[in-house]
Amino acid sequence: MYCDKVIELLKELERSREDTIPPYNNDGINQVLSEMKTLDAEIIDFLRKQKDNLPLDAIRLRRAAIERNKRCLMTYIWTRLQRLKEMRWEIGAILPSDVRQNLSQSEIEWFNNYCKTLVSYMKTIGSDTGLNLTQDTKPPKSLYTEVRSLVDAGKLELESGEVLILRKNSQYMLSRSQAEPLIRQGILEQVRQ
Amino acid sequence: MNFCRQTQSNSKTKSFNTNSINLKSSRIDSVASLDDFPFTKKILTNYLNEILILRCHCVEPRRFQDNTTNIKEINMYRNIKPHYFSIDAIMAAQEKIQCSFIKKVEHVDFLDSIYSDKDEESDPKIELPLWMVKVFLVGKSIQFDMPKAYNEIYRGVLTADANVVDLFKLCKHFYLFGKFLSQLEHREAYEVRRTLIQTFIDRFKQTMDWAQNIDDNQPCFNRLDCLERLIFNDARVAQQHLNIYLTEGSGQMEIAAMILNYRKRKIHESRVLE
Repeated sequence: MYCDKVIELLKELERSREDTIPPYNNDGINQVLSEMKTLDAEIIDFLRKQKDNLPLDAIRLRRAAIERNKRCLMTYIWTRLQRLKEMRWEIGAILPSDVRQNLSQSEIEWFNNYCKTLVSYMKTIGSDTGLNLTQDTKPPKSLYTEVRSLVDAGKLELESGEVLILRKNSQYMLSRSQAEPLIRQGILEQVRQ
Repeated sequence: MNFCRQTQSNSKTKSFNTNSINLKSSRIDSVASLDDFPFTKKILTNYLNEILILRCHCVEPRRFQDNTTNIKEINMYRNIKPHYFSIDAIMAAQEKIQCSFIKKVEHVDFLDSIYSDKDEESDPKIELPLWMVKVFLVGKSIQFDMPKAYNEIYRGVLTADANVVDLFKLCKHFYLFGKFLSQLEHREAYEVRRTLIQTFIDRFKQTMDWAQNIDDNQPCFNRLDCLERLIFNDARVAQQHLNIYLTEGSGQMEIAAMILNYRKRKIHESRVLE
């Protein structure tokens, strides 16, 4: 039956967890595209052969199948891009290697462009240095915060120029703006008051 | 979010004068003014659009035959389209309907193969996905029965007590699929629309109750339809945020959920490898 393959693609995407991106299924997409081409050729065939008494239902069905294939393919790509976009805000500009592996070439390009656009937008707003929109997602209560290091992360250069060596299980007082990205990445933990 | 949205202008729906339709409105309002659930109202507003759409479905067309403007509004439900990129909507349109052809359709290969397997006299009915049925309905070459979940028997069950039904088992996309079905030309379409909204209203309170009060809610969750699952998840997250705020206060910075899940998965994968 028509459109079965593209539904398989979407099911694969639906089954995967919302915060992951499954491998880009190039074969599947090419199969769907070739199905669409065949359908298109069939319609043209009908129109050429039978000048009168056209099999309207058959043509309508094929046209609907082409439209549906198109919609499903676009949904496949759109859903993946939405997840990728969310990752930019949650994880940051550098993606883990196994996520990167699952992307297609054009998706990687799109991601790089998205990062560039976001950064250049953040530069234009706020005061002269720009405004980092990914920071302070929750309202800050103080400028400094006490954090505990969860791993031996190594050197960290502070805004003042000092260098701090992060050791596992030791506690530090850091400025909130510097601590937040590290907390979000899971390197530091905020000490509960 | 893959959630149904209207492609038509939203403001039009919101300005939809509900007072002009005396349509059991008291029951719907009683949901909107639930005071015993703290987050209900907030979540309800998020889904208000969807509820309004369901509500439009509920209007009996015959009543307004003398008033042309109203007929326009009533027929609005036909123009309501889901989000173009909604996976749920696509899957709902893929659900099968039992139908039979009243005209001969030629040049469709897979139909020939289905029919050649069968003895033509005994059972002329076949199952086709909804989007195909829609195509054949344009040429009036097909007729269909309401699928099992929406037939008279199940409508009776749902009217009697919607809360005991396992909707996910009955039909994964109960509301969406039902909405699409009721947009088609069918003599039972109006009844289906009415059952849909009444079912949603009857089950809503229970859904919220489960989401906010039970810790181990997997068994309840399995009984919900896709739309209810979205509401359920939102309600649960809201309740968790509230609990955290009440016990720990605000301003605590935390690891990003995505990275946390990513790590858990890594640990799991390495264990599997070992």
